[in-house]
Amino acid sequence: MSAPVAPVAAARTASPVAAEAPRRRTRGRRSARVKLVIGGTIVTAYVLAALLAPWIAPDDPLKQHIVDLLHGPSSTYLLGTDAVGRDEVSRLLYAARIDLPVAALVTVLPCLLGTALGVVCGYVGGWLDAVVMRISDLLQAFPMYVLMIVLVFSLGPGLRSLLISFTLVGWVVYARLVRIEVLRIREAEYITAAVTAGFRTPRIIVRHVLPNTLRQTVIYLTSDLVFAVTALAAFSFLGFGIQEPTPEWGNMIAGADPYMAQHPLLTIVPGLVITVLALGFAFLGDGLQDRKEQ
Amino acid sequence: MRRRPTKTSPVTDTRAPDTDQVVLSVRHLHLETEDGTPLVQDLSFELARGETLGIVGESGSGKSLSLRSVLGIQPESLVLTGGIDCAARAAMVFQEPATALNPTMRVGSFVAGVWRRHHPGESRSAARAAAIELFDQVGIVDPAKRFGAWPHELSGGMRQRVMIAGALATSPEVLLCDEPTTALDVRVQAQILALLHRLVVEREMAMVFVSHDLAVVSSVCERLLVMRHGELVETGPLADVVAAPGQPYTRDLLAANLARRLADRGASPASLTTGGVS
Repeated sequence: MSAPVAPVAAARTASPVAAEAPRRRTRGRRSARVKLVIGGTIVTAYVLAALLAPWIAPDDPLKQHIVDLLHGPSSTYLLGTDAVGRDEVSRLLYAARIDLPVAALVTVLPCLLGTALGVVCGYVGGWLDAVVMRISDLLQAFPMYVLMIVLVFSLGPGLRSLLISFTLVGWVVYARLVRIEVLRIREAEYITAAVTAGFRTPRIIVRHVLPNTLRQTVIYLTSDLVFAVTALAAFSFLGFGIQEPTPEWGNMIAGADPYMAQHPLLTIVPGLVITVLALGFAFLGDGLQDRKEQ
Repeated sequence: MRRRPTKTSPVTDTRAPDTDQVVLSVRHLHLETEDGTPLVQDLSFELARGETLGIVGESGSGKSLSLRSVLGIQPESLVLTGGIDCAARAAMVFQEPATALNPTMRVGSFVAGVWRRHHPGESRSAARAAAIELFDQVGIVDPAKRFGAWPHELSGGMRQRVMIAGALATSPEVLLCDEPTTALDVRVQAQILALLHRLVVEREMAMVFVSHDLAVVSSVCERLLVMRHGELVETGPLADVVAAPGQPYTRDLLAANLARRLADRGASPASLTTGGVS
């Protein structure tokens, strides 16, 4: 009885094995798309909120309703008011107009600096490469957050010192990432072909090397936005970032902190707003990485 | 004019040594690794204007390395001695068109860029027109439409035609071909060989064609140079070498390679050599 069963069982087990590779690829592609859609939707929603804040916000984010301090959620104040009577929803919406562009800036600036250094180091090499890489070793030997806090502390609070400290600390990863990519790309036959076609080095770097590093950089940049969004809020919470009365999610949490017991929503909601945006960028970065691996 | 390292071969290089007409001269080329392993030893040959030279040999015989040395694109780690004198503009067609084209550059932009680099002062639109004209010359159907294509959108044969168009954009007097048909299927290979042959004749270019495949080389070249273990084994007019190989290695190569393929086609060596040379 067992003899005729065996081939059937074998066939049954064999077919999933044979189909496994393509199916896994399909599943991977689908999950990458799902991540990209989720991440894209979240980020788009935030961008729209920031752009449309003046029209969709129910109130002026700076206007203080002295009679309605720490008002609970109501039809007038959907999420209540803060300690000086400002409408929470309006502040959250207007804060997006600060947090999104600042997060983008503190990510893009180090990316530009790091990419430029990484490309030149990787393609030209020599003493410049040695010097830049030793500096990056030095910077990486410190914990990133500590270094940034020290820099912001010594430069004083505000947007300018945030930009400087994020750039001075953040370029390292981009430089290393791009440099490794360039070391790989410069061995590619199409670079040899460009050299034999008579193109000069600057043109080869800009037109042939740089575009081929972009994909890897964009993937990292998207994940880096996750860090930027949370780090920005952290600095503002500590009082080193964007200053009151400008609405910013981090300083909103800081301002609501003493009233946690009476009005917990004032800390919870900005925290959620930050977390969901970070999640959106994380999904985008993950999806891009997955798609690249296929 | 003896270039063979051995004295037993009856074949001599019959080409007239007219030095005015020499466009490429390689003298005592020697390539070795940093630890002293020789890869190419004492290779010397000359190429006259409009002449077609085929370099054949098995994998690792140093034929591609020698060709790359002409343009100075051998691996940087290798130590090169000897003289390479390329008196003419040279351009190269690479083996693997899939990796020799920048994946982030439209094929038309590549060719137009190369053309403009070699025609300073010309406008972008002139470069575009020139690239489309070159696409047409290399047999790309609907060249204006293909101008904006990405490399991954094209087939292997089309990509190799783009590479050839890019090489032609430099108006070369010497075309260096590094196994340009090895990555292609047999039918496309024949088309590319026919194209190269036509271009060489039309533009009166000299050509060095490197391949492991004697049959391929003999369809486009007048003169043959056989290499093995980094050394020149035998050289001479194609018909002579094929009809009367002077070296045992050449005979082996012929037997292993050409004879089998000729048998497949039902042809004899004689018909191939007369048919292949223009």
